[in-house]
Amino acid sequence: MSDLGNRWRQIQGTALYAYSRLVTRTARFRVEGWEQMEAAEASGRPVLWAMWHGQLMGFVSFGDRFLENEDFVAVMVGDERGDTLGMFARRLRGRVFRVDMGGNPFAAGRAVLRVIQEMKAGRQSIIAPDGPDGPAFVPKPGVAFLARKAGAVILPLGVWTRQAYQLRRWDRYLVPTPFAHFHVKIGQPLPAEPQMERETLLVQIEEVLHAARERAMVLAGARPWR
Amino acid sequence: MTTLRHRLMGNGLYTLSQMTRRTGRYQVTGQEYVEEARAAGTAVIWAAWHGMTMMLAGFVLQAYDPGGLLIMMPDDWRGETLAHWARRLGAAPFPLNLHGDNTMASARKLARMVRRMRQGQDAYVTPDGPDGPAYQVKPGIAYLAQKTGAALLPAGAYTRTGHRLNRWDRYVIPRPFSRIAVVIGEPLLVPAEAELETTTERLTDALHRVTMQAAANYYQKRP
Repeated sequence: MSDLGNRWRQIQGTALYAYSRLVTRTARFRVEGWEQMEAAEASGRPVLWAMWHGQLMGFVSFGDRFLENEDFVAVMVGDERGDTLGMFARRLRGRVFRVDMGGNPFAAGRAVLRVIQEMKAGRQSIIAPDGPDGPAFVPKPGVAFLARKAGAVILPLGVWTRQAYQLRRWDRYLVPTPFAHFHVKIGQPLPAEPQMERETLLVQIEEVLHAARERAMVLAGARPWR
Repeated sequence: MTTLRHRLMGNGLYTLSQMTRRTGRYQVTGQEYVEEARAAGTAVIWAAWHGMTMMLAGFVLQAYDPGGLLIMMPDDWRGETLAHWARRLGAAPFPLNLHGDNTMASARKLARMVRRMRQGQDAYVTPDGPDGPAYQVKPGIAYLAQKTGAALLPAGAYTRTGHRLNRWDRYVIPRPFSRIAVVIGEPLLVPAEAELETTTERLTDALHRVTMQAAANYYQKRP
């Protein structure tokens, strides 16, 4: 990769960070379900936050305000988007491991293993199971693998705000504006047992993520489209 | 009484919805749920947000209805126009007072609708219509489903190439030749002893889900 391209992605990542900081600092939050988070943390197992890809920006703001960023470790896409996003995550002081879907499968496996190790060591993690390219609202098997291997509890999250722009792409990515009023729903924790069937777990994940998002939309009095 | 004005406006609406239906390129997911809902042997209530009527009503009639789809509509000044539109489409308009009227006349009308649905006629209801608030399900549809034992079939549609009216429901009038993504959700069965509120909540969630999915499908990268 050229130096110039690299530099440019770093600038993009920093700009993204600056914008998300602005959104976080000016945002108001209404959160439903703190007790679910406490229950998940009290279970003593690693916590894996999950939400649909389109609401990631909302999660970043929520996490930046209420959770410890240093505690986070995440799997992230390995192509050039990852350069920008990696920079963004580093500025937020989270740790990311990049997995290149089309690249070396061993390297990808190593990255996932590192994430699992870090989770077992007590860090929290976050994943958007329909990312990075969709199809929308269909969890991919990776999330089930990660959750079962780490013995994690999956904590479904729904974020919605009416003060936002929805990108015209597969996940209808929600870009909140400054001074947005966020409505957050933390769903019931879903423990992933190692002996669970992958398919069953995926169906359950789909259900809880939809439920959390829909609840957040109802709280926000949302328009589901525009 | 249907005056010339109502007929003209009704014909205009009919032309628009025919144009959408004939020239639209529909991209449908969830067709299997229609069969599933029918398999129970009861009537089906199609439910969709009010803003999508132009994309969905004609399409549902053409693609899935054996005839005589009951369309619930208000009986005020809009009613005559809408009734004319529905009749031209081949549906059965069912004007009702939707403003919380509790006289016997309204009750009798509703009872007639229930009876026709029990005989197996399907219905099309916009649960946040006719005046909003947007995206909030009112209890009427839950009551109807409970009384008739019909399955609720949530449907959502999305297109980018259309004109959105600047009003409460962001009513969409698609341009001719639009690509329209339609998603039909899992049918909801309402037990006779269910609380109305539980049903409206379930339906709200289902409608949010299909609508989001329709928008996502529309923008899905295609190979």
